[in-house]
Amino acid sequence: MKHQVWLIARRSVVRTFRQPGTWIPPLTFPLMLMAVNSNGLRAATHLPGFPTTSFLAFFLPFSFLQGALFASGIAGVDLARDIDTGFLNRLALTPVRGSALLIGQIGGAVGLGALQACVYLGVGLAFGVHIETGVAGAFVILLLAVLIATGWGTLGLWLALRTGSSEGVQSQFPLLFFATFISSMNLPRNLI
Amino acid sequence: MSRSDQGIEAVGLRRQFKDIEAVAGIDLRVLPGEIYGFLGPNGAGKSTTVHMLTTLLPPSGGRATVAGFDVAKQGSQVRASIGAALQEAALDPFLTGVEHLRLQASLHGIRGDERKRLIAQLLDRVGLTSAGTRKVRTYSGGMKRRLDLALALIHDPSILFLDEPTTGLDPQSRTALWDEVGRLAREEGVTVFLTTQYLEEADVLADRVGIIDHGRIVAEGTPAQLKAQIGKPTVEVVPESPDELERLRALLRRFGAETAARPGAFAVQLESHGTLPEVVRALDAENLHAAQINLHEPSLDDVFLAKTGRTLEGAEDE
Repeated sequence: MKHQVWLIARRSVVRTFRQPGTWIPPLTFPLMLMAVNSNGLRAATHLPGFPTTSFLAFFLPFSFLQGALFASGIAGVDLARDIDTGFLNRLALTPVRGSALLIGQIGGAVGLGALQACVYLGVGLAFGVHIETGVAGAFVILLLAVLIATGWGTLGLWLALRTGSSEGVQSQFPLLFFATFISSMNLPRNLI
Repeated sequence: MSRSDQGIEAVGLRRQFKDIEAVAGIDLRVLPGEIYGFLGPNGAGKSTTVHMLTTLLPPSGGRATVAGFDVAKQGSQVRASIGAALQEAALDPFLTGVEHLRLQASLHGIRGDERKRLIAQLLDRVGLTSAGTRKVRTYSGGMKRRLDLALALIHDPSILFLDEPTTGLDPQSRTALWDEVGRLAREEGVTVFLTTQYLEEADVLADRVGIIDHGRIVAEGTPAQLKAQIGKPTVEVVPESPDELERLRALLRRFGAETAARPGAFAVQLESHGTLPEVVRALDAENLHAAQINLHEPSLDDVFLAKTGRTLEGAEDE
C-alpha cells in the first residue's frame, strides 16, 4: 500500500512541477499579497489588542493557508482530468488500491505546499520575523503547512469526485478564497 | 504468466443508466486465443459492455466471467488477467512513454531488471524506442495508441480488451496496429475482445464477430458465415459496346438471377462463390468484350443492413 501511494504521489509531483503555469502563480501570489499587506496594513499593529508589533509575522500563516488553498486546486483539477481522460480507469485496472490512488493523488499538492512553506518561511525570516521556539518551531510550522496542504488537497479531491470536471473544481475555489479573507486568519478575532 | 484456458462468457449481461438500457441482456462466448470483433455504431453499447467485462462498471443484471473469474465478485483476479486499451488513449501528456510504462509495471508489482527488460522489449515491439523518453504530449495519435497497447501488455495478460483502438488513426498506423494485434493472438495465444465501428477492421482481424445494436447482439458468427447468411456475390459487367447489352444479358442469366445494376451494365447474383472465372471464360467464348467486370462480395455492412434495417454508416447519425 505504501509503495503504491509513493508511485502515484511521485507521478503527481512530477506532473505538477512539469507545468510551471500551475505552480508559479500559487507560489508567488501569496508572496505579493504578503508584501503589499505587511506594509499597507502595518498601522493595524497599533490597534489595542493586536497580538504582535510586526504585521508580517501576523500575516505569515495566512500565506501558508492561501498557498495551500491554491495548491489544493491542483490536486482536484488533476484528479478531475484523470477522470475525464480515462487515466483514472487505467490506474483502476491495475492492482492498486482505491485508497492508495486517492492519497497518492494529493502528492503534487503536498509537494507544492511544502515548497511554498519553505519559501514563505524563508522570506519571513529574511525580513525580520522571529520564531520564539527556534529551529524546532520552524519545523513544526513546516509540518503544519504540509498538513494544511493535505487538508485542502483532500477537499480538492472530494470536489473532483463529486463534480467529475476540472471546471467544477476550479469554480469552487474563489468561494474558499473569499472565506479565508473573512476569517480570523486575516485579522485577530478580537478586532473583527 | 501462463495463458488462461478460459476466455470470456456473458449470460444475460445488462446495464441500465436511469431510464436508458445501454446493454439489454447480451449472451456471448469468446474462446481462448480467439479475436472477437464487437461491431456496432456509436451508442450501441460496445463500450458499456467492455466496462462491465473489465470490472470498471458493475452490471445491472446477468453475469459474466473473464478468464474464469466472475466480474462482479472476483474483480481483482479479473484485473490481474486482463489488459485493456480503452477508447481514446488515456495517457498523461506530461509523462514520457518510459515513465508511463514504469508506473504501470510497478503498479503490477514488476520491478528491477525485469521491469527494465520488459519496458525495452515493449517499446521495441510497438516501435517507440527512440520516442520513449519524450513527453507524451509530443506524440502523434498513432504513437499514443501504440503506447496504450504496450501499457495494456506490460503484465503479460491472457485477455486483451481493445475499445475502438484505431479510431482516428491514419491508414498506416491502423495497419501496424492490426498486425500487432493479429500477432498477439496467433503467436502468443492472447484472447482479444475488440470493439470497433469499422467493418473492415472486424473483417480483417476478427475470427468471430458479434454485431450489437441498441444494446442487443443481433448477429454473431465468423465474417464469412455472416456474409453467407445474407447473400451471394454479385457480378456486374459493362459491355464495351452498348449494342451488346442484350447478348450479355442472355449470357449472364446462365450464372444467376438478375439484380440491380448501373445504367449500361448488367448484373447477376452468382449461384455460388468462385464462379467468376467461369463468367470470364464464357464472355471470352462468346467473343463479348467487357469494358468493366465488378465482383461485389457481401460485406459486413450488408449483414448489418439485413439484421437491423439500416447501414452502419446511417446508424452513426442517429
